[in-house]
Order: sequence, then C-alpha cells, then structure tokens
Amino acid sequence: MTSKLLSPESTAPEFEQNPYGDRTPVVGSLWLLLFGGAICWTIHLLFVVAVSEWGCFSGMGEFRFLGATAIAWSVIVASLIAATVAGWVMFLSLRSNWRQCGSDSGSDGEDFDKERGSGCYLAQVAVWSNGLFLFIIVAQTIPILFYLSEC
Amino acid sequence: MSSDSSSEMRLQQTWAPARGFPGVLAEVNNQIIGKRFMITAFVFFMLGGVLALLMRIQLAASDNHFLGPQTYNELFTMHGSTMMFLFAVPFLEGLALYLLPMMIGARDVAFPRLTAYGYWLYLFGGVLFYASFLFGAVPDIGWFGYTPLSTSRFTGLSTDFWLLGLSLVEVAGLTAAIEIVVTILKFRAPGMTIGRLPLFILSLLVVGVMILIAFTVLLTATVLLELDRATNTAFFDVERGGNNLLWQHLFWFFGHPEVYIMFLPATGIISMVIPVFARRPVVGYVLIAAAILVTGFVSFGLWVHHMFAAGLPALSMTFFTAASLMIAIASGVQVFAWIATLWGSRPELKPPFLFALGFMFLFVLGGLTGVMVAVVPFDQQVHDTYFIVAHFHYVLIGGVLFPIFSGVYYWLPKMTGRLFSDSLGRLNFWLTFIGFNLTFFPMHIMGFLGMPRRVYTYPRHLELDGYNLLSTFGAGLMSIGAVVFLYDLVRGLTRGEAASDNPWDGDSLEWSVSSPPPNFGFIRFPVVTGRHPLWQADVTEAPDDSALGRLREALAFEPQTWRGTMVTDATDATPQAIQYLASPTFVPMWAAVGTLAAAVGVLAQAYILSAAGLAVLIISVFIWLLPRESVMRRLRESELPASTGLPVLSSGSVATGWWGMVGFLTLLGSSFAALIYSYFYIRLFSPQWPPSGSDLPNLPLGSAAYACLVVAGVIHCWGMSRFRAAAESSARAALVIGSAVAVGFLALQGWDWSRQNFTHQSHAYGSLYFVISGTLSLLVVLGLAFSLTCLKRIGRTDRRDLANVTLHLEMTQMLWATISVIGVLVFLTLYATPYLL
Repeated sequence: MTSKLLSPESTAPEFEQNPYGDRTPVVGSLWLLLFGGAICWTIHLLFVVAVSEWGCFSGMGEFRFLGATAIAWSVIVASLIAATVAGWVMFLSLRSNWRQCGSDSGSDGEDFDKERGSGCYLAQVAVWSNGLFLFIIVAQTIPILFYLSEC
Repeated sequence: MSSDSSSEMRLQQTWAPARGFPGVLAEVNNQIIGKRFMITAFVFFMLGGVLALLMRIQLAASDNHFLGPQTYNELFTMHGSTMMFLFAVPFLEGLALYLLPMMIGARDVAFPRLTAYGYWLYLFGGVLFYASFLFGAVPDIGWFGYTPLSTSRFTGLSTDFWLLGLSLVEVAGLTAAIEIVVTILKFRAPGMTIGRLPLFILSLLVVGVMILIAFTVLLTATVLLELDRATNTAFFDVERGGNNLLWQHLFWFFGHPEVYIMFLPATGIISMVIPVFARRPVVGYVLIAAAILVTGFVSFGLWVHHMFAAGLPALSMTFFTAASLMIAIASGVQVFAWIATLWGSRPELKPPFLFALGFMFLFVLGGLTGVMVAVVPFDQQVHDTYFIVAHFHYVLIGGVLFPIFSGVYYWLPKMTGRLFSDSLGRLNFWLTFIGFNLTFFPMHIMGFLGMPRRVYTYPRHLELDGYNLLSTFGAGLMSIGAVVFLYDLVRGLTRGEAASDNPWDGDSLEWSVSSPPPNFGFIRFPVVTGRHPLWQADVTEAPDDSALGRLREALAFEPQTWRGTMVTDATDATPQAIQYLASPTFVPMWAAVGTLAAAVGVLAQAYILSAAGLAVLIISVFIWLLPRESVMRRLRESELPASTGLPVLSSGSVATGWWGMVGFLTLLGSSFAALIYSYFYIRLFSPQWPPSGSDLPNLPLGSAAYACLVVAGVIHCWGMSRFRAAAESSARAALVIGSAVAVGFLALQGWDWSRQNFTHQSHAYGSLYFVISGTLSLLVVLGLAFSLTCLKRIGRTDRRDLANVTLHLEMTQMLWATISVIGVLVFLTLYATPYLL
C-alpha cells in the first residue's frame, strides 16, 4: 500500500487528496469481474425459465426442428451463449489472478491462504466463483436433454 | 496520563446513553440497540417455543382434542411467523449491529438513527402481530399466507394483523440491511482490506445485499395483498384476471433466500468460533469467501423448488432442481473448510465449540434431505408431509439456532463482562442436541408413513402414536435446555466471574476492547495487519512514526464533543474522512410511531389515523434528514481536518450518505422489478390483454408523459454537472426546470388516469396499471421533495458546508437518474408491450 507521509504542518487538504494512500489500481474492474459469472447465470436462469413457462403455455413447444422443440433450441442456444461468456469471464479471472497474485499463486498448502492484497484476493475469489457459476450453468442445461420434445 | 484520562472522560460523556425513561426512547447507540434487538428477539423465541410445545402436546397422542383445529391453525401460523420473522433474522441483525463496529474497528454503525428507527418498527410490528390474540383475530393462514386463503373472501382481520405486523418487521429488516452494508463498506479500520474481513462480517455483507432484494420483494407482495384486501384490487383474484400463483412466486422469491439470510451469518459465526478453538487460522479463507458469494446469488434461483407441487411445467422445474443441487456444493465447501481447520487440532469442548460441532452434524443431515427434496419426483411424494417438517427444522434449528447459541456463548463474556458456567452450557447443549434429534428425526419416518403436516390430529390406525410421543418428549427436553440457558444467563449476570478482555484468546478486533466494551468501542483506532489481527500483531501497541500511526494518535479520544468515527475506502480501507454520527434523539421513535399509526389505521379502516401517521412520519423524516445548524457549526469549527488531513464533511463515494442512497435505490429497483414481474406474470396467463371492454393504452399521451420524466432526469443530471463546475445559478435553474418538467409528468399521468374507462378494481390489468404508475408517481413526488430542498440550500449555505450540499445534490441526481430508468421500464411495460405482446 502506498502512503504519503502526513507532515505535522499540513493543513486541511483538498477533497481529492488522500494522505494515507491511494486505492489499489484495477480494483474497480476486478469487482466487475467478481460478479461476471453470477450475472451470466442470473440472465441464463431468467431466460430459460421465461422461455419454458411462456413457451409451454403459448404452444411454442409445437414448433420442431431436428426433433427438438423451439423451446429446447432456445434453451440450448441460450446455454451455449451463457456458458461461453461465463467461460470467458473465468479466463479473464484466471489471467487477473496470475497478474495480481504473481505466477506462484498455487492452489495448495499454506501458500493458498497467504495474503497478497485486495487485487489478488478479488481475483482469487473471482476465479472460484466464476468457475462455480460456469459449472452451474452447464448443470442447469443438462435437464433440457430429457425434454427435447416435450414441456 | 492525566490528560488521557480527562480526554477519555469527555469521550465517555459524549457517548454516554441518554438518561432516564426519555433517554431509553431516544437512544441510538449500536450496542444498546443491538442488545435490545437480541433481547426482544429472544422473548419472541420463547413465545414461539411455547406455541410449539402446545402443538406438540396436541400431537402427542392420536385423536387428541387438547387443541381444536382452528386453534391449531392459529398456533402453527404464529409459531412459524414468529420464528422466521420475529426471532431468527432480528436476532442475527441485533448480534450484527452490536458486534459489527467492534469487529471492524469503528465506533458505531453508519446511520445510528436508522438503527433506532428499525428497532422501534420491529418492536411495534411484533407487538401488533401478537396483539391479534387480544382481539381474538389470530392469523391462521400459515407463515406463507398463500392466496386465495389469505384474501378477504376467506379471512378477516387476522390476516391484516399478519400482513401489517410483518410489513413493519420487514421495513425494520431493510433498515438493518442498509446499516450493515454501509458500515462494513465504509467504517473498517485502516488495513482491514476487503480480503481481511472476518468471515462473519463477510457473510453479513452478502446477507445485507440479499435482504435489500429479498425483503423488498416480500414487502411489495404484502402491500399488493393488503391492497387486494383493503381496496379491492385484483392481483390475486382469478375471477378478475389475477393469479394466485403470483403470490407463491413473490413469496418464495423472498422465502428461499430468507433461509440463506439466516444461514449465512450463522456460518459466519461458526467460521469465527472454530478457528479460535482449533487455535489456527481457518483453512480455505478464499474458498469460503467464494462459497458465501455463490450461495448468496444462487439462493435467489431456487424459489420454485417450494412450488414443485403447484402445477408448473416440468421443464421449468428441472432448472430449479439443478440449481438446488448445485447450491449444496457451495454449502459443502464451507463444511469441508471447517473440518480441515479442525483436522488434527485439540479443541476444548466448551459450549461455543460444542454448539458449533452440533451445527455441523445437524446441518449436514438437513442439507442431505434438502438435496433429496430438490428432486421433483421425491418431493412430490413427501410434499406436505412431516418429512418436510423434519428437513426444514434440521436446516433452521440445526443450521441457525445452534450457531446462534454458539455465538451467544462465545460473545456473552464480551457483551456482559461476565463468565458463564461451562457445565451449565454443556448441559444446555446436550439437552438441546438430544431433544432436537428426538423431536425431529422421527418426523422423517412419520413423513414417509404419510403423516400430513398442518393437520391438528391423526387417527390411531396410522400407528404414529409412538413416533409422535417421542417427538413431544424431545420438545420437552429442548424446553428444559432453554430454561437451563436462562438460569445460566441470570446466574452469570448476577454472580458470574469477571471476564477478561479476551477470554477465548480470540483473533478478531472486538476482543481488544474491554469486557463489557464502552459505547464508543475504541479510544484509538486499531490498524489491521492481517486476517487474524490479534494473533498477528498488538493492535493496541504504541503508534509508529508512519502517517497512519500519527493519524491514530491524532484521533485518539477524538472527536470529543460530538460522536464520530473514521471513514475508509470500501476496498482497501484507506482513511478518507471523519463521519459525524447522531446523538440520542426522539426523531426515530416518532417516525416509527407514525409508521405504526399508518398501519393501525389500515387495520382498523380508520384512514384518518393512517393519514395522521403518515404526516408524523414525513415530518420526522424531514427533521431527520435536513442538517441542523448547531451540528454544522460544530463540524465547521472542528480542528480535526487540520490535525488529521481528513475532512469531516464529505461527498461522493466517500460519504456514507451516498452509499445509503445506493442501498435505497437498490430497494426501489427491487420493488419495481417485483411489480413489473407481476405485470408480465399475470399477462402471461391472460387470454386477452387488456381485458375486453378496456382500451389499449394511449401511446401518444404515455410517450409524452414518460418523455417528461426522462427529460426531468437528464436536466437534474446536467444541473449536478453545472454545480460541480461552480455554476450555481445554472444548477438552480436546472433544478427549477427539471422539477417543472417532472410536474408535467404528474399532470399528464393524472390526465391519463382520468380518461381510463376502468378503475383499479375492474380487473388485474387495471390494478397493475394504477398501482405501478401510481407508485412511480409517488416516487416522482419524493424526487421533487429532494429537488426543492436542494434548491433551498444551493448558494445559501456556508461555503464550508459545500461538501454536504454536494452530497445532497448527488443524492438528488442519483434519485432522478433511477426514476428516469424506472420510468422507461414502466413505459415499456404499461404502454408499449400491450401493442407488442
């Protein structure tokens, strides 16, 4: 953490100045990255539920292509898009993890719980949470394989 | 030294509780309000427990008539509602409000008056809820209040007691959530970066955001139901196009996250207790943090698993099965981390640790049955049987009550300054643990044997007497455990040995202050150097020569004549400002009395009382929010900016008010999301939209009205940019023009209302149209109030208050930007989609 020494003679500062240090760079984007997988999952769930509820009610399930209903195709396409985006976010998290924590940020032993600053911490949490959300998106897509031709 | 003691005395005077009975009503300090929350919640817990015992006595034998069916319905409704709304969440909120500032190195929470307002609302809501017994109108609709049973066609005053009492409690929960989130983000001691949060605090941060979303949806749903009952709208009236399943969706969108709102802080407690007893840092801190985050998010995607028997499309249910199975992974991560932390350690079997162990065992069992009921075919077999009762009690008592007991035994020495009996604590644990398993484990079997829940008795030929008698015996043992706890509490408070500051050799900051702690917590702000500050460095050590060290000394015993604490950056906890905190005041209590009067007016259909209550509320909030000259003068004259380099008035993301506004806007967004969801859900199942006989919305008129709203928002934002550029006259002009345009919206919207050939009572479409546009119009009135008060302050306040005026304008700008966005969404929903869908 950088910190400029506050001299005893200093007077009231301007609002923009902070004598006790600056914010860690890139933290803003890491916060966004932290929620990337969650946002993908939320949009995916809302979409597939809306399509299945509305589609089954409105007769969308009667339109078929290659043996699967339009609902099933919508869910499959949405899932592919969501999984791709979540995977990309996961990749970005891994890259941030490598940059923020250094190449020695192993995932085993005491080294894993070693503190390396806010940027590294956010990147590490992002890797695990985005990975889990990617897994959840994939798991939520599996049921459609059993409902390709019905509601 | 003598200078230090006189400084400490002045600090103590500034933070001393207000005296006498009036002082009790005016108190705003977090420690006192936190304790009030916990004590009140515990009283409700005992009441809920007595109701449970009465039910168990009724069920102890077949064909029993100790209670009649109506009384039984009332008791299970009151028991469930009490435990969910009046005990678990408020108790954890109280614990959080009490501990939070001490655990992060602050002197109080971010908005002390809001804490007090929340407490009064909670107390009034709970009392209103139980007042139903006095009027012979006890709610009997279950803690879930399903429609149509809860509509005015089937129930009377009792449901109004339930809805209005719980609405007050929900608002109290929302205030606590804003308090918790902003305090965690802005009041952390220097060095307590986002990666060094104690896990209890991290779980509270996630839960605070969850409450803001989930409780708002429930509040919106309860308002819609009360509107149906009191003003004959048609949201849940199928004959007029409403939909009963809408209530279930809204309720469970709250109801399932509610489980995790209770469970996550409970896991946070366990993550504090286990490392201290294992004498080592928790294993997998980052993984636990990720698990808490994922659990918080995914808990919002599971609500439909409570509706598997409601007739939804099978495909849609499978998505929720998958999500419900997946959340077990996130929960399991925490359990494995605790096991790994304990692995090879030699913990002492003291009461906090015993309850933590009990939690792990019971929660895993409850989690496993949770995975079972997440599977649709299994759920449909055991739906509405005692298997479900067993499952959720394992989750809620095992997963929440045991951690609460663990936390209470852990932190009681800190709160009271007394040590409590280990042997009585162990006795309580074994009575509760054995009693719990005797009560609830047989219910799994009873469920498989087909015993339905919510039925007041059962016939002898089902051969369930033995299991039920065992359950009742277990409930008795649990009650004895509660009595032992009470006895230990009284004994400890009156005769317990004095506790040291850190009797468990804990690692977190609260253990560095005296037991019991002074109301201001810390004389010198701690500087945190790791995730386990007390194990890593002496946070009370003499200051070094760095800037932080000098700041720490400059702020020792300061500020002395007003209550204040340090504000730090949300991520890195770098010092940014000194925050003024309110002293005791009656305003929050009056605001709560006004809110109560408004609710009672609706209950008694005495709408004059409601109007008077609202007037008291609005006046109180006005007094509350406008800065007082005496306070501003004190802040202007403060020497702290010169001695510390930190401002005492701030704006933007430095200011707590800015974050409070973000919380309020989150709440608004969540509420409108629920309303818009309701619109589309009802529309989905309506054969004709708008219903026959009703015209399509007037697109040109609607476009003009909502264009006004967007323009008003843009002008307000432009006004803010002019103010930042020091062009005050332009900023004033922007506020005037923006407000005038917003009034134009109200006029056009009013015109559109007047020309409709239907009312809010005609059909669900009418109810949605009037309630959504009406709510938006109320929001515009709130925006106008903000604009007009800004107008009054610009150019007329002391230049030294510039940061405060800037903050006021920023909040106004944020509100108008949100109103504009919501306006666009409402326009698309109400005016555009009827032409498209």
